[in-house]
Amino acid sequence: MKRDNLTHLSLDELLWLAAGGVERRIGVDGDAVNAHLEGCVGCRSRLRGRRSVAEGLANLANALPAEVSGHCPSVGTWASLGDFSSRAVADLLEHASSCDHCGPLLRATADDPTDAFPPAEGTPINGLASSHPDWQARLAGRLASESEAASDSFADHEGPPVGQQVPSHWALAAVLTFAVVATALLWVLRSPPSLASTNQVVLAAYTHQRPFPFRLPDAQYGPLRQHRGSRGAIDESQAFLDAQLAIARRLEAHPTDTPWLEARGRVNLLEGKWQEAIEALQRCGPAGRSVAVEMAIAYAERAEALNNPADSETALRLLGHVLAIDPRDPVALFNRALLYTRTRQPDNADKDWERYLAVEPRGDWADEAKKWKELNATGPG
Amino acid sequence: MARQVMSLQDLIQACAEGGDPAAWEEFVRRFQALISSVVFRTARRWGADSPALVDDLVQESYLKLCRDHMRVLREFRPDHPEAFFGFLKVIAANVVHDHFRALRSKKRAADVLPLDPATTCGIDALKGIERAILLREIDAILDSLPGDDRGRDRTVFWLYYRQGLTAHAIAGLPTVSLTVKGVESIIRRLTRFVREQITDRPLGEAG
Repeated sequence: MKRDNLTHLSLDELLWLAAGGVERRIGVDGDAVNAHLEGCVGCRSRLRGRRSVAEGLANLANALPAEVSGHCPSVGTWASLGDFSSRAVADLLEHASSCDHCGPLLRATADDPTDAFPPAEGTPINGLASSHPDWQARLAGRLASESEAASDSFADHEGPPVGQQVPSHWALAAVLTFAVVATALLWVLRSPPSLASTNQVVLAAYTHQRPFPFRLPDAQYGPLRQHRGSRGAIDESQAFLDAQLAIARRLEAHPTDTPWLEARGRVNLLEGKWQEAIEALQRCGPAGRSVAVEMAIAYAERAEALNNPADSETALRLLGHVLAIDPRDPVALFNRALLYTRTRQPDNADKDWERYLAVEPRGDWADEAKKWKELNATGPG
Repeated sequence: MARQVMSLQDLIQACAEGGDPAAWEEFVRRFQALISSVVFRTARRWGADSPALVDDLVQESYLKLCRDHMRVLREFRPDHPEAFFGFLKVIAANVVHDHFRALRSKKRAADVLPLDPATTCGIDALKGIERAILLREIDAILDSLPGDDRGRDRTVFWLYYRQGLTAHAIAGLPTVSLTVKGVESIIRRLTRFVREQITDRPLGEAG
């Protein structure tokens, strides 16, 4: 029976198309399927989605291994799963399945090294210098020296030989106590501001002066103000200057410290330095929610400053991704609604203002949102 | 005793006692293929597998055994020799990961970032978010699976797709209690389920 052109594609037909749509398959009328596909937007969208899921699944394992997190067991755990109870192993495997630090280590133990290379590659390890006896002999010599030193150090670590004199217990205890107390005092007196206190100062500066209309993640409400000169210029209190100094010192010693890079990005936002903010936040690596929102602010403000619509699009895309993960994120909703308002997309703006007010119907931010919504409805001028 | 006929236990003990180049030479000879295979495959996943680099990382893997007072060698258990092989693999893989993570951190600090938003946001940041979105969406779908084996099946699915283990490797894990065909069957079933849930929303509904 000929396929009815009005009937949407079945799962089998979609699978056939996603597999290439070339091979003959029983029950699939290729010509009729393609004819329907040409005229049906919905089925084309379903096919695109199916292909993108297949592609997405295929690429999931290509992410680079991540840093260890607080939940990760020791590295050696993955080599000795047999030592654990069944329940513990089940929990460990569940952790490894979703952890990009431990998963690659588990994979290393599970891979069969004799299965390392496809036949076409031959055995590339045979060509390595480390496969040659001379190289191995040199390495063995070095390992022998290092292991001898490690072995001696292990003996020392175990304790002094019997008969060797040691200081009296009380004198040793007193010396240790003094050292601990002195170190603690010095640490308290000389320790630099913590990340938490630095962020508090930065967020308080935003609240106090609200240098731009977008919401900064984690910041309390601050009313909009008229700013003389460039948007984003902030009056720098001593505390704010101290915070900047703390950030600079920390990043000098640890240039890739992500939370401090984000703090620098925030300071740049408050100072109206959009390009520097973008650069600092990009160096945070794969963006978490707050970094994505802050980057969107930087792009949105740069778009306004340089009259560059492409930057607005980037900002909208970033906020869209945040909302795809959490559609009720109030900060992302507020900021996107504001950006739609600013870029004169009233329908989109109105929808987002409604969504935002459904999440946060009361409070200072909501009151401001209602004014923006009204402004959006009345239009420019 | 000739090194070549030494038991694994005796060989490790000779190396752990320190200072015996011949014992170490035999150790390197025995484990060279294992360690260099792991290093080569792991480095390739990072997109770099030059012979000189692989040799350096192989050497680093051996040197790591001597750290922490050679604890790995001292704690070798003759009743579980396979755990030792597994540990060598984990050490080698971790050495490679640490090397490239450190390189990536340095590179990120040194990069001059272009102004063009199409190449920024990094593209890295967007890809990271897109991956997170897909993972979250699929995880929510797997959460809706019926049956008592949902937890096990979900772990199998992620070990296969997210961590790249083969069905054979998954079947060999302790307590998995599945044959290779059993693992493949779960993966096929869940893959179809996920695709159906993601793509077959009723037509006319916004995506």
